[in-house]
Amino acid sequence: MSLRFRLNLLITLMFVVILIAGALLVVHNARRSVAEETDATSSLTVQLLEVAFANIGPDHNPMDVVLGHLGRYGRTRHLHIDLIDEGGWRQRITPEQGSLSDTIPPDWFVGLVRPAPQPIVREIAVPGSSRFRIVVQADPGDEIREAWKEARATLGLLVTFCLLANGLVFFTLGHWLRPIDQILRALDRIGQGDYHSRLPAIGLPELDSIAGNFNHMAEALETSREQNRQLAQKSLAIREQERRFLAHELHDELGQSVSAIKALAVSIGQRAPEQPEIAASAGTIAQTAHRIYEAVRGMMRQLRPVILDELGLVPALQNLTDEWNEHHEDSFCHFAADGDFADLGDDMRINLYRIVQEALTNAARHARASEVTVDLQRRPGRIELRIADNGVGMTPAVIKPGLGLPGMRERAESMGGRLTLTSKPGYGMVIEVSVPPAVKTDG
Amino acid sequence: MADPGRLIRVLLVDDHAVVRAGYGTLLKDAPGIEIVAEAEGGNAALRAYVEHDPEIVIMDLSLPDLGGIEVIRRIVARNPAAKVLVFSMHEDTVFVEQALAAGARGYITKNSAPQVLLDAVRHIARGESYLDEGIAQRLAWQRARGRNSPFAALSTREFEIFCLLAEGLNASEISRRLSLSSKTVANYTTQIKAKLGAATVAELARLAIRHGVVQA
Repeated sequence: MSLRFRLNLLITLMFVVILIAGALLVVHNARRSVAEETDATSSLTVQLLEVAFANIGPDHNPMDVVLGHLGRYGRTRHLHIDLIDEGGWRQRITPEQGSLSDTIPPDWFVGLVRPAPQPIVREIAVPGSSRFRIVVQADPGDEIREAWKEARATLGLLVTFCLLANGLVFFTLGHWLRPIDQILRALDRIGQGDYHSRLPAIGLPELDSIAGNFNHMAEALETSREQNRQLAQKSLAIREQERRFLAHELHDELGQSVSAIKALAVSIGQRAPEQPEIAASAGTIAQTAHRIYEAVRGMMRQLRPVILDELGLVPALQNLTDEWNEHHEDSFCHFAADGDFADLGDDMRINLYRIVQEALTNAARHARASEVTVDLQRRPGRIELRIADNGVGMTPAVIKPGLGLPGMRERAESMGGRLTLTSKPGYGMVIEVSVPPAVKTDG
Repeated sequence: MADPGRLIRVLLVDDHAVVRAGYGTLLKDAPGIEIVAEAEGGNAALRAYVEHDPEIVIMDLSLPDLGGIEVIRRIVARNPAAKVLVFSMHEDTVFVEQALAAGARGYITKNSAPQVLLDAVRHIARGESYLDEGIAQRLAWQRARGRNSPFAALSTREFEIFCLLAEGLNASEISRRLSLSSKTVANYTTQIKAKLGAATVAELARLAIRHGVVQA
């Protein structure tokens, strides 16, 4: 439940309670006043009538007395006056009266406040005439109507107030809390790795301090990511430098020496044509030297693909996939490149090459893929590399260690790009790398 | 060896003493070859060349002072008839092309069988040129699928298989020749056809003949 909804609910509940109490009070008051009013009217009328009858002569018709009297004190209240003579003849006088208002109270209200009918009965003895009874009963209709009007006004006021208060809370809170949405969205962006996200000044002291701290955090994150990136780049560069150095050493020292051993072995074999054992041993040495040389060459290629420096990225990747196909009989790697990559800097070439190399190693070792496609594309302002296999796949959340994925991601990020991995158990794996091209800086 | 009594006078240039020792022994033992000088750097090589006027210079490309290519250029500039044989660890065609452009008469790698060196020295002494067999093949292929040719998109391996297909070899012969599984060869064949827009092997063969990759 949102804060706004809770507050609204609370206010409404409070008002409902007040409303009920108010309504009860209103009804109670109305009831009392209606009862009092009707009682008073009835009693007054009876007293007046008694006085009037006491003063009339025998020739007067009681009806006229009543009518005349009523005419005198006006058409104020509804009254039912019954005259009943000794013979039981009953005559009802209901003075003609207009209602005080046009409002008709609802039945439930009438039911709630209408007092029990309380007729006042008096025996009147007209001197020289017959006796009769007079029954006066006040009709509470007007009082009820009046009470209803008051009640309605009071309740109406309460309801209006309740609605206004709710509305006010709803809108002002909405306005004040809007920055919270902003904060949430900004946090979301941070969660997705967009550390550029900053919050503007909000205008509420509490939220402003949150925004301030948020901006501070985002800045710190951004700085530390940049430092990480630089560090990663540096460590990758150092690694490549060491590999290059090692490859160079292998090539120069080991390769040359092995080659020399081979030459010496051959010449020993040639010097001893009449000693077949020596010739055979020399032959074995030459063969062994050759095998060592081949192994060294393989290591050199692993350490530093010379072809990458000499011929560029595309031939190097072609060569890499060719060699991979040569060594993996049960699977095949398709390679396609589109665009010119000749202007790419050294770091970028080696990083892209290493990512493909690692991905192919994974495809063979872990994915058990029968088909791999490597696709390198040059787009305006971006280089996109996509490596897809049809292997066993995996849940990206539970990536096994040893897949070299962090290393690949590190390389992508050190180039200022990003690496996306899509995989599902049984549905292969797709690695997508998108980097802004880093052009050669001669040196 | 037009003149059997004459020895081929060789200058051996390599910055690795062990290489000079190993191949020096091999060359000295070989009939008809004589090492007149050894040098371990580019400048030393130039001095030795001037001093001894060898018939053949056997030279490594990676030298500590002057680069091998530069040494070849200077030797050839001094004597356009100079016979330089490159003997290098580098197997990439880029180096081969540069060395040949600088005026070298031959190129072999240290990965070749040692006898190849003797063979190369004798060929060059006769005034011929000499290229390591593997290198010659790769160089030819690289030329054939130069930048503007339809074969530029093929990888080395694809081009190799393309040539064999065009020559009329079937998949199992190719797989035996290249020690690849027949499945891999089949995959490559499909990919080559797709890259060259050919539906059949016959079309591949026609394409190869039209571009002079194989002889009709």
